[in-house]
Amino acid sequence: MVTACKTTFRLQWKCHKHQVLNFLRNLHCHSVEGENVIDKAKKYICLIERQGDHALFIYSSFKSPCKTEADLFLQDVLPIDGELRVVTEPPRDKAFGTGSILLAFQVKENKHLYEMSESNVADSCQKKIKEAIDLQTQNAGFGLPSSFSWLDKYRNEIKGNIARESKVVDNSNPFSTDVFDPLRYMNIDKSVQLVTDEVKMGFEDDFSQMNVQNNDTNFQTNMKKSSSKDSLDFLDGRETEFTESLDKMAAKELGLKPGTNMAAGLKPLTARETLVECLLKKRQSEYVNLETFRVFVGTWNVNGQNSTTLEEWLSCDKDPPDIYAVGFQELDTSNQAYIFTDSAREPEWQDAVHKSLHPKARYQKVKSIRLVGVMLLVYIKETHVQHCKLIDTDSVPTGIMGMLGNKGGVGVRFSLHDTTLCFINSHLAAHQEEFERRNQDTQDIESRMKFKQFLPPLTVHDHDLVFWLGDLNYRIDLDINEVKENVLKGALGKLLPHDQLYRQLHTHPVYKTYTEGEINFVPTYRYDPGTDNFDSSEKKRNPAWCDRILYKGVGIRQIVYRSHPTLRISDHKPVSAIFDAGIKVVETKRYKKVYEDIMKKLDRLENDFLPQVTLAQKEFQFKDIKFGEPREQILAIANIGQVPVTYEFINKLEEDSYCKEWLSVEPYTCVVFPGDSIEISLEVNVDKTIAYRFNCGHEKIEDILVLHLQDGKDFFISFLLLSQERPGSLDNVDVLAEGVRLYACPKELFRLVDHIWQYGRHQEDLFRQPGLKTDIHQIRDCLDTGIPEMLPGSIHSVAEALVLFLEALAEPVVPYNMYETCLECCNNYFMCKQAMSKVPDCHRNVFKYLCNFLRELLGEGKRNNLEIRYLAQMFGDVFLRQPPMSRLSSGKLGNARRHLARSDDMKKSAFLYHFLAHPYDE
Amino acid sequence: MSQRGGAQRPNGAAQGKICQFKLVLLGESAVGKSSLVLRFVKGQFHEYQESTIGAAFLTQTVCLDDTTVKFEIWDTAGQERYHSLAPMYYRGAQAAIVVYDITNQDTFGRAKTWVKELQRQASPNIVIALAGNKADLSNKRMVEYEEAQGYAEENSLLFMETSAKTAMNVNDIFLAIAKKLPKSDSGGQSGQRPQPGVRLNEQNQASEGGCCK
Ligand SMILES: Nc1nc2c(ncn2[C@@H]2O[C@H](COP(=O)(O)OP(=O)(O)OP(=O)(O)O)[C@@H](O)[C@H]2O)c(=O)[nH]1
Ligand SMILES: [Mg+2]
Repeated sequence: MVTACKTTFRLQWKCHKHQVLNFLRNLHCHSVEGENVIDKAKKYICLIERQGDHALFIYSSFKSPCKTEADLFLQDVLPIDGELRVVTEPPRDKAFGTGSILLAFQVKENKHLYEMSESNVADSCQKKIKEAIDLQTQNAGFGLPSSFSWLDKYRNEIKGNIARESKVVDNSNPFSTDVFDPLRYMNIDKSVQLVTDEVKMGFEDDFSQMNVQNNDTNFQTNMKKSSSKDSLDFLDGRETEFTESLDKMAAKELGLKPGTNMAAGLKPLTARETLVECLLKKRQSEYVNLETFRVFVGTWNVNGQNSTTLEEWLSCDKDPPDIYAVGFQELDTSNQAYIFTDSAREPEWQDAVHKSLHPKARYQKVKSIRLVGVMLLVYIKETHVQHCKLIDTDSVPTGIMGMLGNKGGVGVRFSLHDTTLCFINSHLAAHQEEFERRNQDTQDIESRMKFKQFLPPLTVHDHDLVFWLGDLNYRIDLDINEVKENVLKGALGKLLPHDQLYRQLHTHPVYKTYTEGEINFVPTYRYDPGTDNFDSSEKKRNPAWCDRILYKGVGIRQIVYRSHPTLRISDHKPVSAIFDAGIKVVETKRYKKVYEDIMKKLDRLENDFLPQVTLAQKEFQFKDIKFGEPREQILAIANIGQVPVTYEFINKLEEDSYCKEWLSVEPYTCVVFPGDSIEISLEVNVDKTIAYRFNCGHEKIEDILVLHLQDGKDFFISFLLLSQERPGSLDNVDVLAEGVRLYACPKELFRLVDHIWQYGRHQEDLFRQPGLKTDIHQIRDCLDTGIPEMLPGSIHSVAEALVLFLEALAEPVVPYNMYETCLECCNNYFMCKQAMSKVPDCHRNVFKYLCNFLRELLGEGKRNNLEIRYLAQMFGDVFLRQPPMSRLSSGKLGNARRHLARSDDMKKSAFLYHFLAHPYDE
Repeated sequence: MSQRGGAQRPNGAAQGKICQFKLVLLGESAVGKSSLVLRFVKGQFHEYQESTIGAAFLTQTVCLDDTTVKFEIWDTAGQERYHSLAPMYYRGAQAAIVVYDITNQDTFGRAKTWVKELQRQASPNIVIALAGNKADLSNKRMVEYEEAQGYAEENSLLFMETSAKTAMNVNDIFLAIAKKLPKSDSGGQSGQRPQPGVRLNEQNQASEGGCCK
C-alpha cells in the first residue's frame, strides 16, 4: 500500500533550464483512472515556481525506494494556468484504505487522478497548489499573463523519456548495461553532487535507507556474529585485533566512508572489476600451475576423555603433510559444555594436537572452531602461510530443535593460492535407525553453513575442494553377530553394502557429489575403552563405521584411508585420510600478462562501443536575418557506431540553458539507432532582443551549442547570425530637408509617421487593431529598400510597424539612463520637462516629433476614437523602456516584481500624459 | 565451484582495484593533442588529423604494479574560439596534459597560460603534465628542452618531450601521470564503490594463531 513520505526531497535537475526555486513536495501516490489503478509506480508531485509562475511536475519512479535522481522519470508537466482545476474526492475503492484521498487535476477534458495517503500531507499539498492557482488568477487579472514557454524543455524531456524507454527494449548489446557506466562522463560530477546534497539534506525517511546502507548494517551484524562466534574459539589478543580491523577493512572495501551515502547504481568500476574477475577465471589455465599439496584429514570421537598424545594418529607417516584438518567430536560431554562457551578441554586437546603434528615440518594454525563438543583445527605448513588467505569459519547446530550444539557441524574455509578449500567436521544424529535424520543433518549443515565475511556469504558449494569429516554415525544394517563374524574374517567387502552411508552416498542427493575412499579398516565403533574389543556392555551396540572422511572437488587423490586402533581411550577409534590435492598456483608474470591483455581488450571494446555519430554540419550561418521572420536550418545527425546514441544539448558552465532564447532546437534530445539518422531543426527567431542586439551595433551574433552524446563525446555547434542592415538608431539620422517638419529623425520613422498622418489620422481604432504579419514584413522591406515609394499594407499594419520600430531601437526614445529620473518625476510636468532637457538632442527631437504627432492625432479624436489615456499608456511603455539588468528584469521575486512592474507602467503613462496634454515647448 | 566473492589474486600481481581518473588534454590547436591520444589508445598516427571541434572521449587503462589506473581521456578543442568551453572539461579532472609544439614558440606561451588557468581554476590536486610534442621535428625546434624543463620544474609539472608520430614518450607520459596520481581511498572518483562481494584485505589477513613446532 501507499506510504506517505514526510520529507522534502530536493533534487538537482540535470540540464534543466530553470532553477527550482520552490520546495518540492513529494507524495507517494498512484495514478488512477476510472475505477482502475492504471499505474502503480510511485509518483512524486513537485510544485515548481519560476518567476512567479507555477507548474506541477509529476515524476514517476520505477524503483522503490527511489534512491537517485536517475530513478525518476518526468511523466507530466501541468502548468498552473487558468485551465487547471484541482478537486479532491474520497477514495473510490476501499482497497485504497482509509486516510487516503483522490486528488484530481483537471485540464480541459483530461483528468489526472492521484491517490494519496495520509491526508495531512495531502492537505498541505492541496493548499500549496491552491495558493498557486489563486496567485495565477490574481496575476492574470492584472493583465500579466503567464507564458509557460519555459515548460517546453520539460515537455521535450517527457518525449525523450519515452524514447529512452524504447531504447532499453531494443538494446541487444550486452555490454551497454554493465560495461558502460551511464554516469561516468559528463554527468558524473552531477551525480556526486547529488549524493552530497542528499547527505546535506539529511533524509529521515525511506530515502535514507539506501541499499548500501542496508548492506552496511547487515554486514556489521554479520561481522559481530562472526566475532562472537570467534569467542567460542580459542582467543588470543591478536585475534581480537584482527577482527576489529576486519570491520574497518570491510567497510572500506564496501566503499563506505563514514558519513558517505553511496547511491546504489553508481558502480561503473565495479562492473569492470567483476568482468575482469570473470575473464581472468576463464583464462586461468594460462597463468595457473597445478601444484600438489598433501592434506591430512583426521576425525575422532573422543567420548569426553582427557587428552592424550596423538603421534600415532597424526604423524605416523614418513612425510609431513602440507595441511592438517583435525576434527573431534564429544570433546566435552560434561553438562557444563552445553551451557558455557568455554571448555577446559579445548585448549587441552588443541595442545595435544599441536604437539603431535609431524616433526619434520613447522605448522601454523589457520583457524580453529568449536561448537560444544565438535571441534575442528586446521593447520598449514609455515612456508605456505602467506598464500593462505580469506579465512572464515561458521558453525551449524543441529541438535535438539536444531539449536543445541550437542550435534552439528563446524567449518573452516580459506584460499590457498588460487584454490578455495573448505573443511567440515560434523557430528550427526545417533542411533541405528536414524539414518534419515543423519541425512537431514548433513543437508542442514551444508545449506546453513555460511561464511559471512563475504557478501553475499559463501556456501560450502562455493569451494573448489571440500573435505567432510566427522562422526557421521551411520550404522551397518546387519545382525550383530554377522557383522562381528565378517570383521573377524576380514570380509569387510561383505559388510560395506549394508553400511547406511555407503548406500546414501549413491542415492541421497546431499551425498551425490561426495566421494569416499575404499574402507579397508574394521569398524571404528563401538569399543570397550582401553581395549580393541567391541562393545561388551549390555547395550551391545552393533559395530559400525561411524567415523568417516568424504571429499569432493577436482584434482583430489586419496592416498590412504585408515583407522588408528592403538589409540584406545575412547569408544571410537580415530580415522585419518591422506590426500594429494591439486592447488592452483598463479605464475605472477603470466598472470600479469593475461590481466593486461584483458584490460586492453576491455578498453578496445569500450572504445569501440562508444557512441559515434557524424554531423552533416557543425557551423551554421544565418545571413540576412530579418526582424520577426523565423529561419530554420537542419542539423543532420547520423549514428555510424554500434550502439544506440542518445544525444542531448547540454548547458555550458554557468549557463542555465543550452541555448539562447532566440534559438529553438527540436528535438533537443533523442535516441538515434545505429544506421539511422535524425534531423534536428534549428530555428532562429529574430525577436526584439535580437533586433535590439543588432541595433546596439553588433554586426553579428554568435553562439556555440554543446551537443553531448550520452556516454560519449561532445560536439560544438557554432551559430553565426548576420543582419542585412541595422534597423537604425536615433543618432544615426538623416536630417530631413523637407521643410514642413523641423525635426531631425530617422528616415524610417519619418516615413511611418508621415504615412499614418496622411492616410490614417481619421482611421477608427487606430493603434488599437493589430496589423498583419505579412504586411509588416513588406513594410519593413520597403523601409529598408525605399521601394515602393508608398508603404504597403493596411494602416493598422503601418501603425504596428511604427510601434515595433520604436521597440526595436537600441536605445529607447527616452534613453535608459534617464529612465529612473523620468519615472520619479512623473507627477510634475515641470520636472518632467526638466528631465527631458537632459536628454541628448537627437532623442529629444524624436520625442518631441512623436509627441506632436500624437497630439495631432488626438485632435482628430472625434473620428479616430483615440483618447489621451490610451495613447499615454501605450507610448509611455514604448518611449520609456526599463534598462536591461535593472531591478525589474533581474528580479526573481515573482509577485514583488509584478507589483513593481505595474506601478512603473502607471508612472510611464503619467509621464507621457503631460506631454500629450500640453504642447511641448522648451 | 565458483569463487563468488572470494576473488583470488596472487601477491605481487596487478591487483583488482581499478582507480578511475579523468584526464584532460589542453593546448593550442594543431599541437597534436588528438594525435597523442590516438597514439596512446590505438597505437596509430594520422598525418592528416582533423581538428577537434568538441571534446573527444576515449578510455585507456594502465596497469601499474599495485594498481590499475583507468583513464577517461577528454581531448579538447584547441581552437581559440572554443577556449571558454574548456572549463567544462578540466573541471573535475584529476589529471591534465598541457601540450605544445616544440617547433612553435607561441604554442609554448599558450601552454603556460593553460597551466596558469589550471592552477587557478581546476581542482587543486590536479596532476599536470607538460608535453613538448613533435619532438621528431627537432631540426625545426623553436622551444629549447631546457627552457621547458626549467618552467616545468618551477611549477612542479611532469615534463616530457613527446612525438605522436614516432610514439616517443607517449606511453611514458601517461604512465608517469598514472604513477603520480594518488590512489588512496580518498582518490575521489576512483573505484571505491560498493562491492557485490567483499574481498577481505589479503595482506592483513595473515593466518592467526601461534606457531607450533
Ligand atoms: N611530425 C609530427 N606531426 C605531428 C605530431 N603530432 C601531431 N602531428 C600533426 O600535427 C597536426 C595536428 O595534430 P592534431 O592532433 O590534430 O592537433 P590537436 O592539438 O588535436 O589540434 P586541435 O584538435 O585543433 O586542437 C596533424 O597533422 C598531425 O599529423 C608529431 O608528434 N610529429
Ligand atoms: Mg584535436
